[in-house]
Parts: sequence; structure tokens; C-alpha cells
Amino acid sequence: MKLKEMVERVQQHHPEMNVTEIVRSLNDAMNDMGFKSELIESADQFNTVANQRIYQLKNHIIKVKHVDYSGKSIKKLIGRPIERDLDA
Amino acid sequence: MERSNLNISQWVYWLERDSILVAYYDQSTDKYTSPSEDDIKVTIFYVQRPDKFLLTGETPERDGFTAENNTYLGVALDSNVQMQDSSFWNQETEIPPQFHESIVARAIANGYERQADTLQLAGYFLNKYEAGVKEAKKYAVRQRDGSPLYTISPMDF
Repeated sequence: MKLKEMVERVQQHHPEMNVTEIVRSLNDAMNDMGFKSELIESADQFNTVANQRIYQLKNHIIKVKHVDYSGKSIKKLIGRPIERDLDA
Repeated sequence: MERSNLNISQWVYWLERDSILVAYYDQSTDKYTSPSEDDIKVTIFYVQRPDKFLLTGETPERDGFTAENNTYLGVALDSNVQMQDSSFWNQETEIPPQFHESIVARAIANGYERQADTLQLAGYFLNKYEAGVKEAKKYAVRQRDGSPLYTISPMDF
């Protein structure tokens, strides 16, 4: 269903709602459904930097499911190493 | 000893501070070492927030959209990577079509929530939406293979 049809369906119930309000409501609904159901999966790649272990995650990532390093699946560490390095 | 339950030298990842950390665990020294080389490819498979519908002139929140790679929710963005007026109505969410009606129901519920005398109607449409979320959760687990919801995955030892 394209946005036009979604807006028309909402306006059948609420002719007083303007398009911006409806789009904001639809976005809230999609955001909520996506978060609760974990429907949309995707993959991204980045390259390592020598001697750096920390890489910022992008904002749209809700949950990391798997990670490959140099094409091979690696395991998730449960917890964290006892020795931490904030500069690494 | 840094970790008692990790006894094989291997690459591992973990998450903290909104970041992913990748390191090599060395069993002999019981230490974690950062990658020593540049340009080793790391691939992250993840669940993402659905892309939002954009109003005319808005730009995507998600990174990765350029003037060359500018298709967003099935429509082309303009050279400034903004939603064009001509494409606005043709946007289509990446959430599968069977859940579109539920998304609409939530927006309808929002409209009915504004007045006290239509709160009951808001509840009706909110229930429709929640039923859709429930189905979406099932769909996300099953995907398209139609297998039962809960399965025991085989494991190598």
C-alpha cells in the first residue's frame, strides 16, 4: 500500500487530520511495529582500523544478530572482558 | 584469568556504549587484542528500524544515501537527497504489505484518541494494531520458510 492510500484510509475516519499529522502517526506506528516485531533485517560492512577495536553503531540498528570478521562468522562474547581500554 | 568460560583462541565481538567491539581472544595469554591490520572487512547482520516516510524536502535519517544511490522507500530522491513533491505519495514502507492495514489502524486510533467521546473507538483500532504487531512478531521468526514458530536448532559440538 503506497503512502497515498494509507493517508486516504486514515482521512476516511479523520477528514480533519492534515497530511503531516497522518504521516507522523504512520511513522510512529512503523517505528513501534519495527521495534516490537524485529521485522526488518539488514546487513552493513565496515573496514577495521589497525589497533582499534571499537566502532560506532549506526542509529537505525536496533539489534545486532550476527557478525562476520573477514568473511567468517565470529561469536558474541557474553559479558565484557574484565580489563577495559576506553581508548581502544 | 579474564574469562573462565572462553577457552579457545578466536575472534569475538561484544557491544557497549552504542558501539561494536571486535577483538582476538588469545587463550595462551588470556588477553584480548584489537585488530592489528587496516581494511579487514567486518559484516554486521542486524535488525533495523524501518525507514520513515519523508515529507517533501526532508532527507533520510539513515546514513548511506547519496545523489547516485538515492532510492528511498521505492522512490527517487532529488539531487540534494531530499524527498521530491512528485515522489511523495508513492513512498511504500518496507514493512510487508500484510501489516500495512495495522499501521493505518494505529494512525486512525491516534485520531480518535483526541476526543473523550471517541476513546472507545481508539481502543478498537489500537487492538487491531496490536493484533498486527503480534502477527508481525510471528512472521519475523518464521520469515518465509513456513516452519513452526519454535524450533530447536541443530548444533555442532
